[in-house]
Amino acid sequence: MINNITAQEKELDRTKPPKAGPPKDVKFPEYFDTTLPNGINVLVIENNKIPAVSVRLVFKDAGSFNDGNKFGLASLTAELLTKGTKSMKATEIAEEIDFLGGSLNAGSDWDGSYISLSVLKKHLNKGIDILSDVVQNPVFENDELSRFKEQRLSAILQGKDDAGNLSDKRFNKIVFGDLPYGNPPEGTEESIKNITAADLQDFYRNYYTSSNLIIAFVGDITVDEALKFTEDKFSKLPEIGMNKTNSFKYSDPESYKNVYIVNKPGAVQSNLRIGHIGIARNNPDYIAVTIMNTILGGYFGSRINYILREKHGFTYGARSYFNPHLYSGDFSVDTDVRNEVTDTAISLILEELKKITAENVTDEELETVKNYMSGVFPLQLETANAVATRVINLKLYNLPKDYYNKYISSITSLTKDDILNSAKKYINPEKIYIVVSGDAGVISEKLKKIRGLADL
Amino acid sequence: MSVLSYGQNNNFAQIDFKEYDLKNGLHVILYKDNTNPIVSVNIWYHVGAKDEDSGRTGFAHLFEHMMFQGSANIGKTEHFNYIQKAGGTLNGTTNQDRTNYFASVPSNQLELLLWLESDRMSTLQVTQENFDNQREVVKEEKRQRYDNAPYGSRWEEMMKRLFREQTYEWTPIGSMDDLNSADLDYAKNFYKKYYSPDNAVLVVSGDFEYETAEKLIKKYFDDLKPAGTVKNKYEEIIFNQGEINDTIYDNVQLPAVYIGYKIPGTTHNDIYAITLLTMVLGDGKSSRIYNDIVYNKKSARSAGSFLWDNEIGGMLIVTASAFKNTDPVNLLNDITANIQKISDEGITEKELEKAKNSIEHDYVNMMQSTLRIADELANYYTFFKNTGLINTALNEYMKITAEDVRNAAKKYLVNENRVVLTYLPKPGNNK
Repeated sequence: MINNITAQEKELDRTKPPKAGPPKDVKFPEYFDTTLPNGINVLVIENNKIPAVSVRLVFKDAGSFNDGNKFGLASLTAELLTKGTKSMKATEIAEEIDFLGGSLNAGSDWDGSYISLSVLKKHLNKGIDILSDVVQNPVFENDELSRFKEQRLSAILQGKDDAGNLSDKRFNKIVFGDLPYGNPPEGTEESIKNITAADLQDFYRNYYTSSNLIIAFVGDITVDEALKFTEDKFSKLPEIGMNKTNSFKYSDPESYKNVYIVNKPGAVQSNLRIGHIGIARNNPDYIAVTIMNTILGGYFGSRINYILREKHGFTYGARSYFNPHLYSGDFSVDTDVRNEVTDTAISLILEELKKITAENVTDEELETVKNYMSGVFPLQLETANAVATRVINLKLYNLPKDYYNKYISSITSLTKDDILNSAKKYINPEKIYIVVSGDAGVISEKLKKIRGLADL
Repeated sequence: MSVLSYGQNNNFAQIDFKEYDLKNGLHVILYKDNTNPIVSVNIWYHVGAKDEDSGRTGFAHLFEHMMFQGSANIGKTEHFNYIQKAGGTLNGTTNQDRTNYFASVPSNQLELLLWLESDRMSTLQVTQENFDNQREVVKEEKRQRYDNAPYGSRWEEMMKRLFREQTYEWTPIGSMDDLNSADLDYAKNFYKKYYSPDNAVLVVSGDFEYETAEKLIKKYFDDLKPAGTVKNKYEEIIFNQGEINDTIYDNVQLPAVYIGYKIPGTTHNDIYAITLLTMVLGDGKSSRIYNDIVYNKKSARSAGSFLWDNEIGGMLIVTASAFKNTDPVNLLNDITANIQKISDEGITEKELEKAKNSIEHDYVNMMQSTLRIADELANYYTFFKNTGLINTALNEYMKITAEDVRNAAKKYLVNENRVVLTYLPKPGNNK
């Protein structure tokens, strides 16, 4: 349409893409890994590019999976670590860390709890003193707990404004029922009110043990320094807590026959979650499943995003995810579409789920995604902290030691048949749950034509 | 061409970069770091929402979408395909002042990115079909991120009051009406006017050799024609226009308060002090507002402040997310009292040092990512025409005194220079 190129440029052929040079080898960075007699797993990911250090503590099993019926317990316990110790008040901890210009964050997910310190090298000693104190001497004071509970209750209430959050909650409940992954990790209004300081103390005693602990030292720090810090600063934790009873037995609730609407009056879009149970992180088919899912809906160039966004203009974006945890996971297609096209969008997604389980992907699709996943791998390792996250995951999810060294060859060795088999094995278009959070008054008539409606 | 170095108060590694202009005005910045086998290309066009004509709001951003829809030698969806197939990632963003496009690929694929970028800088193909498709996509983006999101209208409501009849009166997403009436001819003219080498900065960062990169850039960009566009005149920012205090009813459960104070443009000397002031006020759990409002008075679940700076003028924003039973009027009065106290009594040396330590920490962390460095380089060139600030800005912060911070509060954080928005649940929305 508009041509700003001058005529003199004949020798340059712009009609074809340039040829790439020879690819460089990508190696997963070396790291130090040892387990001490008290059970602490020490990892050192040394990198002197910037004069900064992160110290990341991960307590395995101290995650929401072990909340029991006190939903939110793991999360509250982690958050309260930084809200007071035997020698420091919450405000003093905040003041000291902020003064270093660094950060100290604690939190949890399904599979563990985390406390991370990030400081410039010159502030490391002071930073580790605070980290060591909050991990080993938390007091879980009542005042601080009730202050934090009020904040959490308010956050839970505010979460009801968010369509995606509403869908997530309903979807997880429908897929997992009363199993741990079906409950909200942040807790419910009822469960939070009932959690006491004694509950936090118990959870802390049971799961914050040296045998559950992974410490990763990341950045401008040597192995000797890291080992000395571990010995000097983190030796007070008890070695053993509670016996683990982490069994997970899934039985499919037969509730996929309906469409679930979470009513959000006045909504101008419908938020969709379409899927079912997924896989655990250490499933041997994980890489095949990831490639299959990437083609289906895992990146911008995927089938689902192309159809819903680039072809029909129904959405700003649509993606599918296999969201893996330690024992299981979920699979879902997530998107937001305008009210008028809610039913059409759902039908298009269901068609794609059928197609991926019925037909081979094309050579072009497979090659593109293989290149994409191998190509972005070094991008995902740019910072020492990004490398550390992967090393920690090896440990947390019991992956083979050479997992990342073999990562690229695992990707390239997969065939179209492997991809089709993984789709057949892990996606079942006959047992797909559909959750829609949107304005029921506007969308429910049309949704009825897809399936019956579950009670609101 | 310059290779800068400094090393006054800190012994941090310097960002060594090269910069030069092509004869068509394209400004090139090269930052070489061979640590990882990846390379990024980041192009900033000096055009954003503030360049939109009235009745055309949202256009700069809609146009950003069009830049991924194909050019003379690249078909629809191919721009993404080429890069993803090369093992790369890409995106673009539009703000008030600039539109940027960035991609990272394995370093053997640098030439591909330069080919793609030069093609769409010179021969974009805007078809009616693709334009209509992306218009719908952007309308869905607006619904998802603003219209259907709790408190989603806050910045639109803030800016239309704070910058009434001035530059920055609207946000980059624009209005539904203007998106609906956007047309192809305007797109073609917009492209001609703003998408040219003399309105762009090209940053290549990461794993490459200078000689190769310079040769490739010459190969793909040297013959593109400049546009020689004279930009629109921007309305000046007017301070102290009188306080506006409005209530907005939204689909939300809880009240929230948003306060915006008008501040000068990015390059103004006061920005260093204003940045530190923002941090003392509301950055982190030991900041004044958090400590008083959230921790002691327990009248908000969260509260904080941040700086939203733009080329011509910006905002210092204070936000507080209230509890159900909080009286928003009391909340506002308490926040105002905290601000007044800084104007009256100043800040402590310790608070100043804390804020400076945090700036230093952020600066060091920025140096981990070649793409973030590229963004900073482009930023300092585009707005300051002084790329070397990437190495010297930290020292400018270190020079600021507690008195400078107090003066910034006295000058800008006054009621007649602010807009207050209180968001309340729509009646009948309390489920």
